[in-house]
Amino acid sequence: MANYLPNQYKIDNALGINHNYLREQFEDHKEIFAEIEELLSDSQFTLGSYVDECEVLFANRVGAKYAIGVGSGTDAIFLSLKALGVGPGDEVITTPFTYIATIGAIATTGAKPVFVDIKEDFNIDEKLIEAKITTKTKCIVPVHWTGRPCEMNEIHKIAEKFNLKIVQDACHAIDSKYNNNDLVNYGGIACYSMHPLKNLNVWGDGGFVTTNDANFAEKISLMRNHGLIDRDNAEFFAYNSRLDSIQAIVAKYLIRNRLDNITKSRQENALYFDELLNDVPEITLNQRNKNLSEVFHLYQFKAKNRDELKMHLIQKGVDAKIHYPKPMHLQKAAKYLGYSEGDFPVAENLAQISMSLPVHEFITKSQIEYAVDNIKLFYRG
Amino acid sequence: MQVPFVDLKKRFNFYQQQIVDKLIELGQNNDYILGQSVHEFETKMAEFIGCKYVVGVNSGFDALFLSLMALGISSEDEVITVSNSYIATANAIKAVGATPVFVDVGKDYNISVEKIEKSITPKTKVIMPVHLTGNPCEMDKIVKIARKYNLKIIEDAAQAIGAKYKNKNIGNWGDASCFSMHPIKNLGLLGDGGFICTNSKATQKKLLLLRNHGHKNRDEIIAVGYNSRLDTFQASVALIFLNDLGSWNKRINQIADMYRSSIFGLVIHPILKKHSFAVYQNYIVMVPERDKLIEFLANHGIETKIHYPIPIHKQSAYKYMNRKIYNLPETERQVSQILSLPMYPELTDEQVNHTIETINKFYAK
Repeated sequence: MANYLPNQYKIDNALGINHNYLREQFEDHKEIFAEIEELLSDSQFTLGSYVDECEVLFANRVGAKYAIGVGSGTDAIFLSLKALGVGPGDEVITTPFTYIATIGAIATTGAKPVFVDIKEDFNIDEKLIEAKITTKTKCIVPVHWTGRPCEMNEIHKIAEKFNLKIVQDACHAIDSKYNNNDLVNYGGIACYSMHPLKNLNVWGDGGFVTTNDANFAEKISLMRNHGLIDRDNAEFFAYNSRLDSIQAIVAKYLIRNRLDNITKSRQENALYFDELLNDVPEITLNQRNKNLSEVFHLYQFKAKNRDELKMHLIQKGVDAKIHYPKPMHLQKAAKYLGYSEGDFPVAENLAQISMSLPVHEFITKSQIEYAVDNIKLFYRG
Repeated sequence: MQVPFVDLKKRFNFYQQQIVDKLIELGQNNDYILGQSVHEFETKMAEFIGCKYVVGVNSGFDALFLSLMALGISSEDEVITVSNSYIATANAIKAVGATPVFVDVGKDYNISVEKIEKSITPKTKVIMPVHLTGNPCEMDKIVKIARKYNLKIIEDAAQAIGAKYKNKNIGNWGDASCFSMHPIKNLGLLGDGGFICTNSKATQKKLLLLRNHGHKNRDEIIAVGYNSRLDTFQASVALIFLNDLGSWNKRINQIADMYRSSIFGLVIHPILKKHSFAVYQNYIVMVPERDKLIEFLANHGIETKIHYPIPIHKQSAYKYMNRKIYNLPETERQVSQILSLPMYPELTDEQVNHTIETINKFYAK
């Protein structure tokens, strides 16, 4: 097949300890279909009341004044940067330990991604940011990896000191809180994804820009829709990146009926893994921190003999994955940035030794116990 | 009698069960992102257009944006196009940092081929003809000019799925050809969607990378990419509709013939060049006393629209380009006279005849 189909979309059958749970989730679809049938008869496919309602629900959920539905998480970051005027000649600080979309969004604006190494908790090392700031730096894009918030107080202080903008990559972080505060309060802009594998997941691509700034919200609303202030008048050149009404319907249903449980069960499952893995010396867990309320888009940890352990678990039907084995600065696409191996030792090391297990809402306690038993079996023989 | 300008309900009510069945199947197969239907759609659409490759993307705008990127167009470059198009045409050119250069149109509302050469500068890289309303531009002549000056052609075929010029389908005349499947297009989906046709393997490969983050495989990224995927669900809907597109296009031409043969007098009908097959996304006539006619039709339940009341070079978004004063007399002359009549396959003969009679009545007064 000419196109790349990520492995995670294939259905695994072994024991069901899989990252993918879309099939289970789809069991529950009657209410969604009732509204889709309504949509089919009123034909509001492009923006309109379904998207409006979803935006209000989403904004309330993440504690933002405004949420603007867009085509994807990538677009949310891209449009935010463009709306802030980031472009060629500018630099944007972020982490090499992320999904390529973060970097693609920055590079597509014409700005140069500038990497800062991460800490042992997989998030950007706020202490290393200042050293990377130049006169060209316009923006910091912290990535709340796996839904664990970055140290936003510190990052916010740095941004204020150097007069930089913050665009948070919160694509993994629906429901995450920092010091019990909503993320959007740190710098005013947070971007979310609703890709089918995310915690809040729709049936195709979709995302949100959230903000507390009315002017910025207005600008994003225009930018996602060709710059049109009405049918016939374009205010500035812009893009086409709209949240489809169908996806808005799915998201509305999930926010109203399922998201509480999605977040809660991921947190409970992660803590249960923590408890059971705590006494395995070959495994190093993230230090939990009560100020960082995590939502565990992935349950990620460090493991000795990672690659062998992964093979072992897969043979036992446990869907162990690596997110991701090659950090961004070592990708071929990033070659023009001139980085080389050794530039970001923590990120490079964690790419070698980290592993992710599924903790989504359909994982049961006994499945967690089974996975842990097999990890212990691997090390104890 | 009511004649709405757009009536999507009829179509979707008819296909409702098929669409819902497809959606359930999709969910049960876990197949949301670049799934089976996307590949099947790309194969079927390539057969329909008669081109080698089709790449599904998130919208018609993205089709243009990604095609320009794939052909390496950037900030120093100029792209020749027209000003009477939808704003997305020029926005896509601006999105890669290039400058749109507007050429006047002919009486057929399409780019005036004789005026292209005068607008070519050393910075010109691409000609982007717009097949407005799905009425083909004179592509043979445009290809000749492009060859002479070593320019690329990107067809803005957003409204032209199924159109033909000199026995060759639109979609085969450019280095890349860009189509939209926005809900009100002739192959309209349930949300945004688009695709690109190309006969170049290299361009197809670049487009596949650009639409999906530059992935070579899950873990290796070999190009700075973007995220613009045709949803699997929308591709499934497109596959359902594609079966009927041929008959829809026939019906649209039947309606065009009815308008053409029965609306008399002062109304100027769309001009079709020889050897053209148009698909009439809109049926645009030029009429005197337009605004009065619009009101008269509205009073008789007939909804009309103007495509487009403000040409792109007059939009505030493009005012910065006033350093170049555009002289587009034909574009500007047409703006005050053009009127789009209702045009979609679901129109009944009664609705079409009501529109015809009402227009004739207006001018008979």
